[in-house]
Amino acid sequence: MKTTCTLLTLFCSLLLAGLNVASGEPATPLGKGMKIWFDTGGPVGGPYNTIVQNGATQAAADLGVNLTLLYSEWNPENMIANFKTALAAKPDGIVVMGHPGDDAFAPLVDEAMAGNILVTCVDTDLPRLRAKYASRGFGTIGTDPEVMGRTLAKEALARSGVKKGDRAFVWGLKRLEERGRRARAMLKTLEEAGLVVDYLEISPEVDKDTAMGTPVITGYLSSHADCKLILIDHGALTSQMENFLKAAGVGPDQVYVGGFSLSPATATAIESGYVDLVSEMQPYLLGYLSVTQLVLTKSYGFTGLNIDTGGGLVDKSSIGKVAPLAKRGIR
Amino acid sequence: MAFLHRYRLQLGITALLAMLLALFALLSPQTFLGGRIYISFLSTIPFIAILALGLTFLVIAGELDMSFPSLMAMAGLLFAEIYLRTASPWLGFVAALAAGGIGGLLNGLLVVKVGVPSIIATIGTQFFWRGLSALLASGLARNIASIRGTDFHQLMVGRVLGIPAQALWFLALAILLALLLNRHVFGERVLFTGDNLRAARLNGVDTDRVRLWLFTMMGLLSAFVAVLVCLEMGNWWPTQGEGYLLLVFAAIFIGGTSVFGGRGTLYGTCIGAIIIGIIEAGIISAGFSGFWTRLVHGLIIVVSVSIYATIFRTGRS
Amino acid sequence: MSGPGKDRPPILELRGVGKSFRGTPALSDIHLAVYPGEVVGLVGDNGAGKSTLIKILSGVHRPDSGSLLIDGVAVDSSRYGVAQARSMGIETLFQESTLGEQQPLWRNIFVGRALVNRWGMLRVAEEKRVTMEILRRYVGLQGRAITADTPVQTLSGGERQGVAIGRAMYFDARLVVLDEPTTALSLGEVDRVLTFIEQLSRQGRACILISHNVGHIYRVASRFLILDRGEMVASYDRQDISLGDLHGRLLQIHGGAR
Repeated sequence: MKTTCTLLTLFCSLLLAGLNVASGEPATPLGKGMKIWFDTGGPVGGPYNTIVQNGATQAAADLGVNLTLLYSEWNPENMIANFKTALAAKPDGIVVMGHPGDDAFAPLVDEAMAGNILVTCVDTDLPRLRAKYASRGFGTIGTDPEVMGRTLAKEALARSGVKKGDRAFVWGLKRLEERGRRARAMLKTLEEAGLVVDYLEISPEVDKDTAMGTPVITGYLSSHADCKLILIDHGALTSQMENFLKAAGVGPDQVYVGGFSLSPATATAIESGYVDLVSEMQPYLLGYLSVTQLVLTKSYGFTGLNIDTGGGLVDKSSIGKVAPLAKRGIR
Repeated sequence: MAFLHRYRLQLGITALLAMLLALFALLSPQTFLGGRIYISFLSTIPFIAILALGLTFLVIAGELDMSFPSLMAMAGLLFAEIYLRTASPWLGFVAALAAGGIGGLLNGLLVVKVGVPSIIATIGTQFFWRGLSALLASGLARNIASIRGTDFHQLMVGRVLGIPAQALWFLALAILLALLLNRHVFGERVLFTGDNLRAARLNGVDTDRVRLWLFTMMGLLSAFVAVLVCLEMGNWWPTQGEGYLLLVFAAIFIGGTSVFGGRGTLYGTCIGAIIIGIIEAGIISAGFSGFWTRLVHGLIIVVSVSIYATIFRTGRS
Repeated sequence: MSGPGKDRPPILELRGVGKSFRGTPALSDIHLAVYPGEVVGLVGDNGAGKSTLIKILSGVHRPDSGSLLIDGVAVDSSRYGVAQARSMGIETLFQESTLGEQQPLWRNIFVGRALVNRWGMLRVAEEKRVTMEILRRYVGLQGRAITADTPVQTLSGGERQGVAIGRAMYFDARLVVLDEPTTALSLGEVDRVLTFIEQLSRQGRACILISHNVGHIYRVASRFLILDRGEMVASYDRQDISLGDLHGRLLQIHGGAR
């Protein structure tokens, strides 16, 4: 509800900006001359953070902002180092990924705010800093991994029709602290529903080269032929489910498969029925909305927005519309 | 008896593989006594094994290549992109091989002509090619699922009487490369280059040329595997290749090739690749958590290289 | 010992050869001719340029200036490498090991001149047969279980020298260059090497011997050349100088250099 409201407000403000043009007034973009430094979090060309970056770049182009992108290889220390670099450049605003946490960021954000540099965060929330600086434009665009995991598991339970005592398989990355909460939430939800759940940690090799996951799924499914539900906390692995299941001799829609993040290959897998449900964090919004909000805060003093983007669920019925956007790095 | 002694290393590693398979079959008969898991292995292990074959040559010659995962990404991207634009997988294949060959040759030139030690030179080019492929791809994966219907797909990774074609490609390459190493004059030059570079030169071996060829060959093989992986997965993705680096090195050293050069066995490398490739599935099928995989990988590597060092005296002399 | 056949053209001749490394001259204006049946002793202190000279003769280094003639015919030095030198009958036994320690004997005998078919595949059986023959004739198996497949690293210093000499003999060298062949050998092994050199000259082959041990050189060489700081400073025929005088001359030249 809150999300819808804020989105609506935002939409209206953008619309007004558009009307300005229509009514013939001089069309100066709102963010003209503003400098924003943006940490995309991941590596250059990382699949997820590239979509975040695409959103941020589009917002900057729409609003006339001068955007500088930073990359942190998903390493919290790099994110802190990048923040220091950004501070030294004295921009108007900085967008961070919240991974390093409140304690690591607090002194740096204090310094930024003291120097009249706006800060907001995306992806992972920084609750204490947000409480402290919300009135000065510190917000969070993103979602709670726990909520995301729970939502996907619940939807999958409801749609797949599995019953108490059925076997389910979860493939995730518990070893990553923040990200691991998503897998834990899925496990908890499935176990509470009375399912027998097998958990498998994704190895670093399979994490990077998904081809090597084939024998893992084949081995698991031939040892546990009664498995009815598979949930995968990994975008690239979700996209390869078609290959994995084919190799394991499992046909489309024989096992209910849920996963995260849309990619062109996942879209294909949904169309062919090997993947049934995909939850997406809508990373494009992280980039677009955070930059937009900083511009609005700078111009009109609006407070920080707290927006949950984790509601997106894609299945066979909606994939037709979404697939072309996935190809362009928007969904 | 002399045969047993001479091939003791090969026999030892084969026994290790047999023991592992027996153990897995005991723990999860429903998986390891059926055929399906072996078809899965045949579809993925050739990727590790082909890369390991090429790298074994370099290690025998006393060189290393850390850049092949990035060359894979670059060659794979070219293949996928050209296929998407021209609908011709053959054109993409040729371009990928060209990129791989050029990338490999560049490594060789850095090492041989400029004189940078190979581990350093190839760490450098590893960053370069990864960066370039990410830049060209703007970080986006390429979906080439439509390639599945083509003859090219059938030829490279299709199923021949149920056997994945990549396994047959691997077999052909393994035989060819084993002949090259053990029975061809080029292989002899490789052995002497790695054994004692100066001695090889004094015997008239053009060690520069040998090494240039080896780096180029590694580049070509990386590109070949990259194309196979893209075809098998119907997809190119920006981190392609990264997962293979440690596994390929592990396969080579489990196989008994000496890190000091001059000696190595392609047979051992192949068995090493198989061992590396089956462990995870074996552990999962037996119902253990995936956290065990790394531990067992580590255990097998440490135990096997310790055995080589103590019993076979593969240490630095 | 039959006298050197100076009526025929020299097997190998250097005319005004010079070589420098990164601007530092290692050899300058070297003239040298070696005739069939002749043993030339080359002496000089460390750094006199002996090993550079050997590497030019064996095709490892290319001279910067001057010319190289084989059988009186000038050789294009840009095409003169180890393989060419060997094919023209010039074999070199370097001081440093030229053996691949981990490789079997048969590969070591044939490396750089493998017997191949037209696909470049090795004729392994033949190489092994020849290797066994060389082992029998030149190394002396002495009851040790050495076969063509034995890796070099299990051989003693004398046995390795035997392999290197056997290789030179088998390939019918006309000029054998030996760089410090007696270093680190036992007395018996030294004698074998010197006897081998004497055999060479009796067969009408030529030899260039480099050694720190003037006694060894005096025993087998028919002519002595003294190299000092890259230049050929003196040349004596054996009948013109006694071992004691040769010693004295050497001390005088190298002493004066300090």
